Amino acid sequence: MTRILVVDDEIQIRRALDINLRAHGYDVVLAATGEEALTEAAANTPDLVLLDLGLASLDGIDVIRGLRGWTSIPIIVLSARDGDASKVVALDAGADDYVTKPFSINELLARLRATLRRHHPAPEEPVVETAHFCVDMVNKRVTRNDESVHLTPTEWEIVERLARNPGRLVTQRQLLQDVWGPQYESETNYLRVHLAAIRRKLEPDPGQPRYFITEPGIGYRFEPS
Amino acid sequence: MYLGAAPGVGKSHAMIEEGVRRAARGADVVIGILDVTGRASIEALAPGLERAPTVDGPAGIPELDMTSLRKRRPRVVLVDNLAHHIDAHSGRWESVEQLLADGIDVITTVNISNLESMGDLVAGIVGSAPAESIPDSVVRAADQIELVDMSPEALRRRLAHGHVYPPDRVDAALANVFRAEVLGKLRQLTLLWLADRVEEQIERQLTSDADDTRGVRERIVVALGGQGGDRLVRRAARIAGRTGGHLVGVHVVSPGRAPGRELERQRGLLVGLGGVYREILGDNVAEALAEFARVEQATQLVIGAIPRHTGEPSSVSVADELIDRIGSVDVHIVGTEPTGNQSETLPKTHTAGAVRPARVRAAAWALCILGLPLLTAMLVTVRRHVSVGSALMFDLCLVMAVAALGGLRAGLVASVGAFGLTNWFFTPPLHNITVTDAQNVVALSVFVLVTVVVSFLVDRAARRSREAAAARAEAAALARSAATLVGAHDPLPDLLEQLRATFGLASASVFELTGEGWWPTQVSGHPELLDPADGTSIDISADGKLRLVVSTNVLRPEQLEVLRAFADQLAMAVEARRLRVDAANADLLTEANALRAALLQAVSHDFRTPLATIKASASGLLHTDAAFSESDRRQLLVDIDDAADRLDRMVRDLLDMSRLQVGALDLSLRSVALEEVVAAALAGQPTAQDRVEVDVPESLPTVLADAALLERAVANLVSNAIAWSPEGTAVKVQAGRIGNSIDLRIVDRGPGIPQDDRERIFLPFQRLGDRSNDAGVGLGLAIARGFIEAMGARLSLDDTPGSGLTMTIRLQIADDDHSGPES
Repeated sequence: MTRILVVDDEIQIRRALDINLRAHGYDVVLAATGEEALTEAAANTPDLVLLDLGLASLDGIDVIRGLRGWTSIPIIVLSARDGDASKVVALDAGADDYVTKPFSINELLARLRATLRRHHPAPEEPVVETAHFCVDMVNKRVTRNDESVHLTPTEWEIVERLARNPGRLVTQRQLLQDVWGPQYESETNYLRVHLAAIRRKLEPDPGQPRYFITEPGIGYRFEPS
Repeated sequence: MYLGAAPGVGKSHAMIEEGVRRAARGADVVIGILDVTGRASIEALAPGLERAPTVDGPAGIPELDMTSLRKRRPRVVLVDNLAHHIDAHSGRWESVEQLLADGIDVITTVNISNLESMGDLVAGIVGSAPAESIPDSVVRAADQIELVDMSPEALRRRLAHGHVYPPDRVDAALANVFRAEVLGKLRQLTLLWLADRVEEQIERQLTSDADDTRGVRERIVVALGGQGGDRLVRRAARIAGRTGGHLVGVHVVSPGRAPGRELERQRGLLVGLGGVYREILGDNVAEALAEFARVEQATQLVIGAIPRHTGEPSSVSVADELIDRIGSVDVHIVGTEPTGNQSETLPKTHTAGAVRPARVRAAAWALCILGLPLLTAMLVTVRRHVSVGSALMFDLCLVMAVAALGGLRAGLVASVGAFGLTNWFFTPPLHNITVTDAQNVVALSVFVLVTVVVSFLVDRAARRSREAAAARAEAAALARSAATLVGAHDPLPDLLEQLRATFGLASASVFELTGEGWWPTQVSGHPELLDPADGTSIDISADGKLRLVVSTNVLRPEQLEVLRAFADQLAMAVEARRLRVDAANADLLTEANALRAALLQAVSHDFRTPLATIKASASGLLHTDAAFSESDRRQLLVDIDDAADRLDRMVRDLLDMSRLQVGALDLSLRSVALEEVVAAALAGQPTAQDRVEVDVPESLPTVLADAALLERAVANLVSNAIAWSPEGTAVKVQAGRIGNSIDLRIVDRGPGIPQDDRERIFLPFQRLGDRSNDAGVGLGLAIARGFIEAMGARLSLDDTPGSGLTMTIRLQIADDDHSGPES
């Protein structure tokens, strides 16, 4: 059974998550403070941590750093804050994804599944298929309506990175670092240009993308369905 | 601050004991300075206390090492003997003031004899002035002054046992201080001084309780002049201190008399003792003082008694003349010690100035009436050798002298007299009014013409020079007063006041041209006398929008000059005031912005939490493929319901807060039974049942309040108290009658709130320590206080003995309640 550690200082949120996650077949452990969370995670390693950023004494970011010191268990951040900065800090500190309060349970469960999938990968899919195009990792090519679509090497690398993590948020920084190299970490406008080109080539309606989703200021997400 | 009458009464002991006590309670206490070499018992008292490093002062005495203290940043520093002078320019108290400014508390000791205002009293008792003194203002600024008292006998025994000083340090001077009689007097002085402080404090509390309806305060005017005035200033300061009155020092400036360095020092002393300094112009000191006392509405006037000059037995002393002139003002005449050079505290009644002094005029007439015949008689004896022309030349000299001293009229009289005498005694035929020689007729006619013209010119020149001297004196007076005002908070009122006093005007004011015409920016004196379109007005800004208006149109041209020069000072003061208003507005804007930011933060964070609960629970319930048990389903619904209630409370709080801020509260004050309100307030609190102990007797009279608002206020205070109380302790709600009001006390045993934070917790969106709580958006206390004060009641905070916070609501008993205090 998948064990999920829920860390939130609000009793009502903890209860709602507890009931909902149990109803969907997860094993749930609750923690009200950052200290409790670290102790609990060390004692019984969970499969995933749902972490509220706005904790009282030990801040959520500190909890991420504490966990990342010894484990790579997936962390999804729950944040009531609108500020992109806090999310970026959390993601850079090692969080895998985030959900903004208030969230619907469906959204949370989807993120949860995507994140867990990545950490317990099914045998790698050689081909990712969507209703409009097909990404062939083995042959490094994309076909649309059975016709090969020409992508530049950079565009292919971006598509590959995103397609290998379906449903999961990939931050701008990660993409830039992986595709261009560490010194390009802040050149976010490269990404904008290339993503626009990719959407023109693959999206049915590039103005309203449904596969390559932008999380403004934070990163990108590939949604295969 | 521990205050004692003499060394050895136990001030340092008391200081150390407090330090040890505080350290035992967990405060970070260090010993800064301990002047106790050889007094072993004190060292033994504080073995556990950390001693901060010290640096050696110029005299080899250890002083506070400010750099390391600032780095160390303790909570409390003990500093012995605050009045110690490090060198000629700085005292230990200045270092202490820096520490206080850095937020470090200081416990210190002071001897009564070191107080500046006590200087000459102590000198009178001990025989010599204390070597070191500390400005009274420093001592008065202490948060708490505690007396360390010991009977003279006990102190002498301590000295005898060597507990105060090592035997080799007791010299004659020190031994003199420790005579029983001297100690008794010093003790009396200390007790009296402290009694005054206590009275002041009680009065302050009373007046602040009575919403600042201050009664008429005493105004003590002290006349300053030459030497020996220090004692006068101190005496007046003591009178002012005792009566809680204003202290005003005044110096009468006479043209041609430059005030010396003595006056400068006295002015410094006066300002140091909390007084204000004024200068006025006057030929007659008594008259000027009396006028000043009347205008300033003085209640007491302090002047020095001047020993009469042996040379001038007839001169009337200023005091005598003043008492004749002054009405209902008490006059204190303080004895001054005559100093070597025959100086006096106040100048004798003497006259000079723009109006020709009477004594000089009398001399001119004497010269005219006595001198002319005398001169003529002398000339007659040598008539043989002197021609008529030469005799007229001698006469001309005398007439000029008379004109210079006595003015035009005396000159003309002298001219006519000289003409007559010369005609009678010199021009042939002698002893006859007729003149036969045509040449002599011409000579006499020319003589009269010349003397008239000369008298006129000499008179005018003399008048000019006197006016110039007066103008110089006025200008100097204004310049000096302007200099005292540099750096003052708002110099404009004082500048104007000084201007009015200097020129002896009924009123003076600065007008500003606004969209609606001339508007008075600052008025001194009687405003009804002023009209910017009338009277004497002077533009004081280049754009013509500021105007100084004075209530006289008989200013001499030189006075106008001085006024114009002074206008620049006024313009600067007005400008400074405008800048200050701008700065204050900017502060307000910053505050409003901070509030808005806090509101946004609160709304975004605090509203999201219940919303998130609702969203997560409701979306979970909608999820059809989830398998909820019946109790889980119910729990989710309950949470949704609770979160909705919480949102509703927050919205209500925000609305109440904005109503409070714009003053749109719907208030209906009625007679309300307190026990019902408290019961209703507690009913809304789920945890109140087991956490709150209520003691509100039904026998209490009803109070005047708005039942709904009071219920909200009590509920907010109680829920705050519960939130801060540790598990297992109860919050007490008690009520009792105090005179004509009822105190409702909400007592918790939580951590309490430091004195400095007590105002802050009532600001909207505040949570001490930024702790998130379930109660709402951090408005609870702000709303509680807002409601309580809107009802005309008061909310005050106190420590709960032991630990915790006690909030007291003081409510008025309803008028229609006739139950007596015994009910």
